[in-house]
Amino acid sequence: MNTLLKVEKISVSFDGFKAINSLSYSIGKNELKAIIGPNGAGKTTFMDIITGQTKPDEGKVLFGERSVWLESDQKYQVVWDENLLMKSESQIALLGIGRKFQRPTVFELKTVFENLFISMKKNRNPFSVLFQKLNRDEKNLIEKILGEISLKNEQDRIAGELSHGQKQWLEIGMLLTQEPKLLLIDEPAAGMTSNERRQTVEILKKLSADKSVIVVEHDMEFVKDLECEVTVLHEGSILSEGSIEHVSSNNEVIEVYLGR
Amino acid sequence: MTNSINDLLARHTLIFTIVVVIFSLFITFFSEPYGNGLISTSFVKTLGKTVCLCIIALAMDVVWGYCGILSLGHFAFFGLGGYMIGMWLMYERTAIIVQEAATNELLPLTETELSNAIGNQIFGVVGGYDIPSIWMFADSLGLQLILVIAVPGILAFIFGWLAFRSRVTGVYLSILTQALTLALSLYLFQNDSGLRGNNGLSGLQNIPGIEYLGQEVISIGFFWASCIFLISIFLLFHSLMKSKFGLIITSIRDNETRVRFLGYNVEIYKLFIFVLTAIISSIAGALYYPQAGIINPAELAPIASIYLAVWVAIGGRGKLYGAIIGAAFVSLFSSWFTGGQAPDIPLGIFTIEWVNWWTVLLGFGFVIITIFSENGIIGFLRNIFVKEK
Amino acid sequence: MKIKFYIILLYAFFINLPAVAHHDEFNIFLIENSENIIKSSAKTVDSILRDIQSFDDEIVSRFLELWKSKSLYYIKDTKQVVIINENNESFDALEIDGLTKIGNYSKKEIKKIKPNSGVRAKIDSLLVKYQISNSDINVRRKSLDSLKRNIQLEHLAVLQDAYINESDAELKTAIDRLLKFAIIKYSDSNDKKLEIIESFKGDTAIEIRASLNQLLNSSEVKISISLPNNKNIARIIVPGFTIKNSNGTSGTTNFFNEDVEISINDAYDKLYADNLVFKKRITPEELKKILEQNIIEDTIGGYSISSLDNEQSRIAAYNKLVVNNLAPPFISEKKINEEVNKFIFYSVYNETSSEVTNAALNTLASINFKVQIYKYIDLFIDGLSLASIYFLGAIGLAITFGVMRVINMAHGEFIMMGAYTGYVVQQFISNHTLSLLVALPLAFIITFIAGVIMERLVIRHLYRKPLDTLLATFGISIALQQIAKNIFGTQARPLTSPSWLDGSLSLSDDLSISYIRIAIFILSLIFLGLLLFVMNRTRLGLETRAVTQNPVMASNMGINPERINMLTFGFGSGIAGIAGIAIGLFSKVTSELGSEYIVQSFMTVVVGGVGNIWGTLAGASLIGFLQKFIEWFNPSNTLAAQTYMIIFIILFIQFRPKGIVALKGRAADD
Repeated sequence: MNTLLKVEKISVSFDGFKAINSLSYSIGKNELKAIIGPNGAGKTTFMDIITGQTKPDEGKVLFGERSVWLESDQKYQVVWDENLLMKSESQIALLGIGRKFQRPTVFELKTVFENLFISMKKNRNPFSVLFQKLNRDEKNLIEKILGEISLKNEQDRIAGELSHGQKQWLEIGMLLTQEPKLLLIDEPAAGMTSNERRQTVEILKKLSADKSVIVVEHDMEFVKDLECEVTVLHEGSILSEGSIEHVSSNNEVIEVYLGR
Repeated sequence: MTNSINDLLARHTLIFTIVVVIFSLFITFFSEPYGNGLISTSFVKTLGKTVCLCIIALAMDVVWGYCGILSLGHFAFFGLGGYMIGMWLMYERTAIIVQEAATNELLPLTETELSNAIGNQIFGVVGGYDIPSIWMFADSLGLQLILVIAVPGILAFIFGWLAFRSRVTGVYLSILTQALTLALSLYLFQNDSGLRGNNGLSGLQNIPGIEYLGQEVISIGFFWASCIFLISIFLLFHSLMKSKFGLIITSIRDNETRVRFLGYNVEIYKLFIFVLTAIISSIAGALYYPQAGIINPAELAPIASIYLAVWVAIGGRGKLYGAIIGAAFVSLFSSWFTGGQAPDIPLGIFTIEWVNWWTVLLGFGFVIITIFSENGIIGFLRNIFVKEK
Repeated sequence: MKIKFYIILLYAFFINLPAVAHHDEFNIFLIENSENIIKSSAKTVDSILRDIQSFDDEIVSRFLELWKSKSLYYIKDTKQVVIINENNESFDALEIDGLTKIGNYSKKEIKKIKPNSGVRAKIDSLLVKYQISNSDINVRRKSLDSLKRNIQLEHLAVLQDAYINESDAELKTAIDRLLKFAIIKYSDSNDKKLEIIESFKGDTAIEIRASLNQLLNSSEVKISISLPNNKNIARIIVPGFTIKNSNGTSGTTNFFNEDVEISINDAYDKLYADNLVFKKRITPEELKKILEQNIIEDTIGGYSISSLDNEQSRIAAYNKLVVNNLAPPFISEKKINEEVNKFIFYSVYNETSSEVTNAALNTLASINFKVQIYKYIDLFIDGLSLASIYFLGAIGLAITFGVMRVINMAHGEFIMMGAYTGYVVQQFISNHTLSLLVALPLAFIITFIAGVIMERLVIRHLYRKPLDTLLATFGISIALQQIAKNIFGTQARPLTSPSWLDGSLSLSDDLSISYIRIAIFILSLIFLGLLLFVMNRTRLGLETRAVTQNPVMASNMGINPERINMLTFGFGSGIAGIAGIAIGLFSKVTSELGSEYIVQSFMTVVVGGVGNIWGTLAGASLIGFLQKFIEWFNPSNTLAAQTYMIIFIILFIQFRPKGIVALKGRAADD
């Protein structure tokens, strides 16, 4: 399986406090992975680094592995399409990395439809945006996504009026119209009813059919339902990796996680 | 449903256009040259200037109310536009006067003599007769009109590119734009700025070539030009803000980070709006100062740009007609109160003379509006309207 | 001093009897010369001044002093020179000694003797000889001062005597120095001159520089075919190219665009005046005038007038006139250049010895090097005091904006309120020191209250909306400014500093620091200390930091955020009030005082780094020093310096958006 994102030995510190300490991580194409960890483990900083909001002090972040046949050496060589550290947030987003924030972040004054329209995968150049209209296929796509996130009847409502869970879904819907290759999802289940949680798990699983998804959570139960590989983060480095059963039987994990 | 909203908005622009046209016709039919002279030429000029202020208020509304950049520098662009057109007006008029005076001479003037005479006329007040190199295009209306667009455009581009690139936002950006304005006005205040220091440019109401028409006719002409420009800018901004582009601009105002993570290059959008509004401000200035007759560096002082923000805030930001109402309302009231026309209020031991107390009223009134009605007069009216419904 | 002088005279008359004998002879001398004394001229006065020196020193110096100061009179009938004692409309005439009464005269019978300035200068120069040996040290000092301004050859011997007799050490060195100037100027001995010039090395006194520069005075422009080798050439002049340096050498035009010493046209005119060329240059004005005189039916020399709108055709028409003998020949620019290039233009030093002038140049260079260093030090001090002023202006903002993140555009008006408080207090308490002591706490209290009121009424409602705060406080700013204008008027009000703050600490002729600058520097240090103490060591500071960092947590811990915000804002405003008094002391108090500082103050805080008092200090230093540094390049244009400084700051913020002292990490982004 090809690797989509590879993070190598990144470290970052704020005023002497090491938020991330020599962390390495990778995810393959169409893979679903979860990261858990207590508050202050560096989960959000880790996402900030991938999306370009924070620049690490050292380390590499590479995106889009490919194998290339080298004529001279008569063998395949692995090349990485993009070094994310050289890119701005918007460029990284355009490469196909979508991010859902911890707090639902939608455009509260715009309608649900408009929110999806803005995030639609189209030319982002301001001069082209000036004259952009939706064609039939795109309208159908938005309709389809509205269905997937159960907001079909809410499309003309102002997003600020939606319930907390609906906002979370709308944000996921915005990520879908963006058509990313990799989704970073920060605490999707926070503040959701158990019904909404189940629905969210379904949406996430469905997404990983043709996308890579990293879910960051600190709710163990939710992660268990996702049935995927789990990485436990603590004080900026990886404590344990593997299936949820493997991880939750690790003594250290129990100590940092449940011991408190 | 989306369509019905669009229909309503489309009617909005139509109503606006009709109102402005009727207003212009009304003024014309009561003016001195084309009507019974009920409205004096100086009042036509005041109205024409007010229309120009409405235009820059529109620009301010788009950059601040829609895009969220509280620029305290747009009046500087307005002034720059005035300076650029003023250079041509002053140079050309002086050239005509000098040449007329030269007909009494026995020999025709050489180029050096002509330029020295013009230079002496224009720069005598700052002690010089050399025409500075920044006046090299001043003899050509066309080139100087290009400069009306190019100079503020380039300045706004360089400044905006630097500021947005390094993610200076919010009040920091406001302070920075204020600093830019201060730098510009201080620069113009010095005598060797090449623009006559604190004397500024004067006699701009005399339009070379059409002076024979008289101020009554010229003032109506400028009034119409200002109104037509106001309508076009209103339509332009309206359609711009209605489009997907406008959707993104307002999204940047509401949550810049989110827009960035959607893959939009936020900086370019902001730069686009900043430069566009700077250019429109400059053109408005180029229409304003020939009606005002004089421009000097004090007009560009940072306080003017803050006043501009005050107009928009009083009228109601984020709505185009809000900006127009605010600018017209405050500037007309200001000239009424400070012109000594408002009746003084005797309070027994103390008489409130509005010439002195209007600014105090404006200042405190503005504070009250900012605290209690975020959307200014428009918001206030709408609240009443909605309640009745 | 006059009285002292008088007593000395008395002493001379009663103790020193031979002087009395001289005294009679002196009266005879006066009568013999009365005509020349009454109507003296620079020509006739010489003989009197020569002969008078044979008389007693005391009486001569007294007489000369009276003569010079126009205090002598003469009786119209007898032409006797007297002094007059006015006594109730009647005039007592006395002899020069002031003791012997001659008679009583009416106003019409006497007339004042008024020597002209040429005569007075000659009297003065002789008087010096008497004064320099006077027993009163003040007289001696005064005479030295007048000598400094105008030293003559004949003073040399006088000074040498005075030097030997002088007992006061300070005066002795002053005489020594003056003697040296006299030697440099008048001595024939080059060795003596060289020795003295050498001894001046490194002494930056202005009078020494003046004396050396005088030595390096050079002649007017001289012309010859080849450079004379027997003269002490100061400089070779290239017309239209070189400039004259103050030390007599030539230089090239530079960045500051000094004027060339002589233009090519002027050089040619000089050649013509010296009969070295024979054709007169025709100036464009003359050319035009001659053309105008020769108009024949819309043509000049066959050219139609309308075609004469450029220089070439004008010259062509003129040359036609020349051919017809109607005008003197025209010299082309090319020809002028050629002629000028045939000659060498130069200037020689008035001092003939090149050894001496070289030594003077050398010494002057060493002095100038030192002066340059003083200038750098002066620049540094200038920068420091400007930085102190900016720091004072911004220090209140460092709290309200820096710590609380409240944009207060009316901050400048708090500064203004402080300054006006100082002014008003001075109207009631005339003792400036006392009034200052009253005004400082009063300004703090008044602006503190104003700040608290503003926080309660306005800012409290807008904590989450910084841009709205900016605009609302701007509204308050314009209202307060107008109110101040309505109360105090538009003219500037003085805030006078106590007399002990006048004057300056003089370190050398080029380097002095005014006490008020030192006071402001010390005041800003005190402020810095106070602020650091309050923010880091007191309960208010701790609670303020807690509230700004996490208001919810702070209120959970029992801190009342509303109270803290109110007090902190009041504190920042109060400090602005005190700063207002300091600023008012060196600039005039007007209603616009605050708005002049507001933009710079915000930039100071932003450049330094928001949320850090050290940052404000760094920002003020950067802005203050930078502005003085830019001003230094072109001192006449402070407006341009401010412009470039602001542009630099705008660029600086692009590359360090968080300021000099930046807080890092997620806490800093908001």
